[in-house]
Amino acid sequence: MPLLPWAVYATAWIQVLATPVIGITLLMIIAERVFHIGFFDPALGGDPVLYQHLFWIYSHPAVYIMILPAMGVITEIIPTFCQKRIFGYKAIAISSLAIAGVGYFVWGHHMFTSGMSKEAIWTFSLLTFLVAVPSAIKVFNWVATMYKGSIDLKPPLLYAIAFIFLFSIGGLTGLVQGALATDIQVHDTSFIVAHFHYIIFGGVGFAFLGGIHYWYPKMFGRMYNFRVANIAWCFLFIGFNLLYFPQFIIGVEGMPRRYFDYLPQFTTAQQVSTIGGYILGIGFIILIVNLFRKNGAKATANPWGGKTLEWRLASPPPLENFATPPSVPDNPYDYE
Amino acid sequence: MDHLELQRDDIGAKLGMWIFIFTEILLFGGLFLVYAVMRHRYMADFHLASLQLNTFIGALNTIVLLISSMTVAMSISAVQKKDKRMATILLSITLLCAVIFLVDKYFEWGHKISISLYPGTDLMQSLKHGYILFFSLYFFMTGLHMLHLIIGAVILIVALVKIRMGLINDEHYVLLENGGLYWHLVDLIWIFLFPLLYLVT
Repeated sequence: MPLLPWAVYATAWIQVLATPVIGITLLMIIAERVFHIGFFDPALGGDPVLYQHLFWIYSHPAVYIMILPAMGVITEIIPTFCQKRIFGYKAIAISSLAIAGVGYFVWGHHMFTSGMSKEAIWTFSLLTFLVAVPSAIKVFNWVATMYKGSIDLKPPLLYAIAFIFLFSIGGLTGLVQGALATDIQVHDTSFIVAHFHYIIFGGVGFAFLGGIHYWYPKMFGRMYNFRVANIAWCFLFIGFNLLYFPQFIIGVEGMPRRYFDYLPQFTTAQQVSTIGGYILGIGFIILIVNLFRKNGAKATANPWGGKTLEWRLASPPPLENFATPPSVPDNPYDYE
Repeated sequence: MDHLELQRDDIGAKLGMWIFIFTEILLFGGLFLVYAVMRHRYMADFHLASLQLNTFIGALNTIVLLISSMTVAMSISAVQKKDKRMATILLSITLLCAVIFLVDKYFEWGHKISISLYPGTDLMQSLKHGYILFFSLYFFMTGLHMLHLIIGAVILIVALVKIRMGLINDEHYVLLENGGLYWHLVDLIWIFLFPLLYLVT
């Protein structure tokens, strides 16, 4: 099957197995407030670090829930706009499952400063470095797919390329946090904030916007203006980087996170961030107005030359899609 | 009714129920994790606090639930053999066992509440930390289990009504199977709870 279903499948496993843990943790918090049952309250013999463990045992897999479908979307966009089959299909499928699996064992990297033992710390650190490997494999495979492809620089591909760049920055700075020594420096600073915004906004957000631009003709039966979409992309890309890159720098210099005020030495960076935020906002307005204006040309069944099944249907697809079951090819990315 | 038949997917229904059961196991698993950590920390206090529990009633509840698991499994066989009367009797015994369990719980909890031995009281705050945690875990785990037991009983009541109405029959019994599976889960959780709470002395 195409790699987006593989990504969604891996995500489903994480959702099923991780969510109950936050469920029971929240129930315990409710019990603490309502029934004075104090598993996490030191006054009643409880342990707040236990709460942290339970919280992060869910919340780390949760971020993989966020990124895996986004990676699946990117894996659909790139072959279409390079008119080339995906490089390393099996590697990408298996790495989705590997991220889901190994992601269960790294939660302690959110708690390096909580008073854990040295053994626990280096175990979590090692596993965190391991879980980065499947993500890196995907990045290499996407780039390898583009190599010698017939590149068609349409808006969806712009977002996919931006994803690769921004996700890579986010991922590499994640390694800074995964190593204990550097994490002590950057823990609870705006470096962390910048890291996860590069992953979630630069990664998931841009993949989401790329997906919207990719499937928009299929969903709504109309094309949109490419030039305006590209301009919106420029504003978003520049605005995003202006907003979040300075946060890396001042984070290392000591700017704490979750503070509304800052020391005078951080003023320039914060002002640059603010300008970036406004540019980002303008970009969103341009994007939304462009997509809401339903006055583009009528969309054909396959405006991008994609090979997956959705492109065999009219845009938008008729009720119940296929009148008879379609013939499913062995290779979902049959470009050659 | 015809359209419903076209959409029917018994394998999918059973698979969905199994996945849901895994999530429930993980839900209680979080509690078992908390129990393990706290027991390790306050080993002696847990031993002593557990003496306050009535092991006889706990054992009785265990046997009652085991019998109810057996009868619900037998009721599925009865439906498969088109024996509506037997299926009704067996499911009714299962539900009777559920009621017995709840009555036992009422007496157990009632006794603790009458001597002020429950979370939030001044008596509880005055005890040692290990005791407080043991009783917190006792009430929370058995309470959450009891909630699941009531949910399971409601599902089985619905199944019983459908058997009487002929909607569950030898060709169409996946709801009873899933209800039985859920009931087995409720039983299984109790099988773990009983030794952890009552038999640690």
